[in-house]
Amino acid sequence: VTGAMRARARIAVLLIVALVIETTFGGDLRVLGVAPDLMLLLALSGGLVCGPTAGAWIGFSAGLLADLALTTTPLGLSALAWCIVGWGIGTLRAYLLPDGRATRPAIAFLVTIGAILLFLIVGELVGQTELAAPGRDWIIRVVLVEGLWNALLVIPAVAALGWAARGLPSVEELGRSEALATR
Amino acid sequence: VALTRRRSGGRYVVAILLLAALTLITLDARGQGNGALRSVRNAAHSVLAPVQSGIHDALRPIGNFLTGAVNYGSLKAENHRLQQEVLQQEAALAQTRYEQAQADQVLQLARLPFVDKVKTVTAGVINEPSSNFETTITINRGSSSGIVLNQPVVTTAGLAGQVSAVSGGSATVTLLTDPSVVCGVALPVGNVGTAKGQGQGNDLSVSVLASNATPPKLKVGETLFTSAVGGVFPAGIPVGTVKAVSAPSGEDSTATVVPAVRTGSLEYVDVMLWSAQ
Repeated sequence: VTGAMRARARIAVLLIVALVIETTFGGDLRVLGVAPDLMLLLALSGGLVCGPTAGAWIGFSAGLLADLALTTTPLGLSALAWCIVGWGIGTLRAYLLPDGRATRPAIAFLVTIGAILLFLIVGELVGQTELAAPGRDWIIRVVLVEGLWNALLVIPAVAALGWAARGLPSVEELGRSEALATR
Repeated sequence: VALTRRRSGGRYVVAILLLAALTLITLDARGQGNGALRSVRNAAHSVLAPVQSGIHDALRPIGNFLTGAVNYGSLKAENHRLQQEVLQQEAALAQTRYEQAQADQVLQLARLPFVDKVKTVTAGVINEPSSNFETTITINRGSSSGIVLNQPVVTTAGLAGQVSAVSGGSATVTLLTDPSVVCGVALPVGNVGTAKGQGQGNDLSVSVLASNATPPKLKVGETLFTSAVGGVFPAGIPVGTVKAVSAPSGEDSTATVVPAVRTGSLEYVDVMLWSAQ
């Protein structure tokens, strides 16, 4: 059993624990009627910690688990959206975004806004028009409150994923490889 | 070279994951809620339900504390509002009893399909909705109690929703406020309409589906009941109370309806063991 395999197993356990917490207590933690989305939080944290490819895997897995717990939306919708989020934030983080604890909440807030809009757009494209039926006000509220939730929770989520992903190449290593290759 | 390979390999992985997700979406949509993927989802729900139920019961006090801490202001306002509501309810109770007695007599005389003759299964709510775009609850009764897909779910106040997924010991109920639920409602003088959810915490939107010679005249404060037209729900279950009407006496009139059931704080529900013939 290699270190990378152990890391993947730890990440899988982390995702399942997050799913259980979300489906058990997510409804109890509503602020202004909006619940936190831990699976999206782990998808974007995956991109921040592990880079684009592992971020895409983590996003896909988190989305697929979230889809299994849902009923009315098609299986694969969250997986598609969160996979793009994990890959996108991983790519930006590896080659563009600055690192540092101070910037992570702001990044998480902005990425969450983009991710929820992406989820709604992809949903619309695959015929899930009822996702936007609650109206613009509700969507704005969800986007802002979920963004604040994720800005608050991104630091512990990144720490947890950093612990779980020991053994996988970090996003810093990917960045160093890039720097060496361009010299 | 290694970096270029890693980059292109990463792109292939992402492309494969996206294709896999699109394939799942397509297969699920084609399955129309009955395919193999639905079975996978039901299996996942049946695995999650006992875990949710156990953890929820054990850690409920912590959840309540967090809910209180997060929503202190709104709870205070809610408490005040509920106190006012109780006073109003007490005043209305005597009037309601008299009207209920009259209504019972009318229903018996007219031999209408009476909702409480349908067998029901009482179930506890073990999980509230955790998604912001799906309004569902999980209940602790499933196919082993005779529950099947699409059965109506009610409380003493009226229609709460519809069973949307079933496993052995649990079921998922999509609440009436979810935009995916459409319910036929009986409108005045023989007309019918549809009530559609507008998302969590929002009122229902009712539109006239078909009119007879006399267009319906909806009145604010009027209670709307389910219609048997379409065969989705049995007739006679309270759906909600008309709050506002856009065009009071036209074929194209629409109304905003406050749901009869406050779906935000359900503890127990009844599943009607009723299926469309």
